[in-house]
Amino acid sequence: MRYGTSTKLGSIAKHAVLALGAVFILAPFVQMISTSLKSSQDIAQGGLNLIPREWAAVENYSQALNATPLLQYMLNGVIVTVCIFAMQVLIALPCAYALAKLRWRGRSTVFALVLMCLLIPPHAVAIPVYILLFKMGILDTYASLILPFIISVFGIFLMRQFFMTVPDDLIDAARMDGMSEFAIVWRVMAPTAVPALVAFGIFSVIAHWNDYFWPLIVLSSEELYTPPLGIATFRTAEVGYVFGPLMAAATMVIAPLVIAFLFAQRRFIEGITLTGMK
Amino acid sequence: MAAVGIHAIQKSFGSTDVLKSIDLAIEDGEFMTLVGPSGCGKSTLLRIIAGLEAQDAGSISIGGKAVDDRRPSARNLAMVFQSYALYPHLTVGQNIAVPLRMRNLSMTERLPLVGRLSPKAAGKKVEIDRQVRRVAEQLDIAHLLDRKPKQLSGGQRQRVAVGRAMVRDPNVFLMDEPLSNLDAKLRVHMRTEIADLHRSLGTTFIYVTHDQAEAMTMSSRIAVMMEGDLIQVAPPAEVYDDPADIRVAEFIGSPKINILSGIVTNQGTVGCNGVEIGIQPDCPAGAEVKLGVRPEKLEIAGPAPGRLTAEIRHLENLGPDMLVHLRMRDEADPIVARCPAENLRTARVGDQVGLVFSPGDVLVFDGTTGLRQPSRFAVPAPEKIHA
Repeated sequence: MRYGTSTKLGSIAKHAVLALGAVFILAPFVQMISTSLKSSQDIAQGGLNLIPREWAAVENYSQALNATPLLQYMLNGVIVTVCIFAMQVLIALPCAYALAKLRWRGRSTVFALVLMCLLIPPHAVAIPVYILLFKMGILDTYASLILPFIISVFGIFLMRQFFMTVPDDLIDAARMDGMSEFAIVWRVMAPTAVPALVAFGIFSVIAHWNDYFWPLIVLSSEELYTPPLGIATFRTAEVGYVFGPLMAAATMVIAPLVIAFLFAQRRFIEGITLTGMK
Repeated sequence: MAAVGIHAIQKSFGSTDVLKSIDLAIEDGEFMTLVGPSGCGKSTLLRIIAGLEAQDAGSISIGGKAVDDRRPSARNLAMVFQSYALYPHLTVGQNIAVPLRMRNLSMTERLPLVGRLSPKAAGKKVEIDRQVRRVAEQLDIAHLLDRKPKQLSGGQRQRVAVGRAMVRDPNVFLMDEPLSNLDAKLRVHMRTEIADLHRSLGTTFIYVTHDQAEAMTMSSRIAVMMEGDLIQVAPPAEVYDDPADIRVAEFIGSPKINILSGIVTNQGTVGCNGVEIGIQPDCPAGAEVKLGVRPEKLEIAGPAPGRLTAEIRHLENLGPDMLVHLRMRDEADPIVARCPAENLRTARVGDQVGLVFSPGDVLVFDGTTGLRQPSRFAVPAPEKIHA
């Protein structure tokens, strides 16, 4: 019985640690939602009341939607993230297939280069890319938000790792059945890689939905603003931060991500663990 | 239906020669088994026939036509893989339909929405469904057509893989160790089924396995491969009774053939462990030879002068038969005899016994090359030597 109690204690301790971590991670979100429901007087009073003493939910959210074209910004965000992800998949899957399953001279060198590219921080190449887009004359367009990210080295790497686990026999069977190499990528590899694609999709969409740096550099017209830039417009020179509407906007901006993640959660975890195996 | 010709096929990976000029003519409708230990090149040869691997030299012909520049699908072969290689995201029915869809439908007709618009495609799809159903019924998997491969047992997956191969009505079936992922009982059962399938289809089968029992039980002819060479091509009985090489003799047959070392005496007979054995190989006196005796040809008798003696180390009762594991002085390898169990009621581990066999059952191999040596019985040939 001693064994039983000690494992029970162990699992209580484990859960306590996890719960503590969860509180730590979730606290800012709770604070954000709570603040988005409070009036500005309530916020100014300070203190740690999660339930607003003075409710201003409707005011804050309607102000967030009316003061700025927030829906327009979110639509921009959707267009940009969906285009980026679609193009990334279009490029990463054939590359990953070639790196994982085709035999050709220099394959390991190319793969080493891919790994090296993972180490390059995006900010390091920001200025050359900016100049390139300027020379192409497409600054301040959707294209300038999308094109720099369509080749995802991380995506190629992730999918390559996943494809390595697909048995060669399956590919040979597809060849015997008369599929071309491209057909194999899209009709055999892609459907088997759905968990990995979901994981990659979440990484990609979150990164580009939340990206503040790059849109700030290339955009000047407000109608192309993505959500994070949109939130920043609540900071006004005269009033400083208007916290209530700001938090309401922030809540609305991250809501789609949270909802999408909850739906894809199981697949996402599958994708991560699968690529970790073998 | 087609004959398959393999002409001087060579293949190397880096500095290893995997296939050293293989020549083999497989007749139309034949069940040819390529058998050998792992790494002998049998799978590579099959993949070259399939077109999945390119040979370094030589040529493959199917139905008399060279197919070296044809893609795998254009050779109209079907292959069953060891891992079955079913598409995990498709149902059983869709899996079986893939080869037909790829062959009979154009690229636009295969598209999910556009394909519906063409009336011609609809007719073709009905025909494909009909054929899939026919094959499924033949293999007794019609009730599984809507399941995914994940939901099937190993034996059912195996049938689906065979169905996917059958549906295209190929010239030749290629099978790469299709039974090795099944449990022992099912494997024996599927042996019969595949042999039945071959009989009913009458198509050429090329079957790769490392399991000599599968080779012996199903094939019209066996091609034994070792280290990238084809050593012997013959019907199962001939490979067993008349092996061309000591490696073939050792590979085929379970339990393994017993090998004793001997030296050719001045009289031309063979001396083995100080006992003279009444056969005369075509070898000069003093030459080293290896004698092969199948376990079921060995009899256990009481020890006697002039008789090979050995000690019983272990007894395995198989029911009708008993496997007697023996250790002979001066022989490194254990000797195994397979005897009717009733003859051995009194035998105990540790007993010293004599070994009896007929000289006609002794296979003589050259001591260095391992090649089979023709031999005669010493005159007068006794019916049974009590060597």
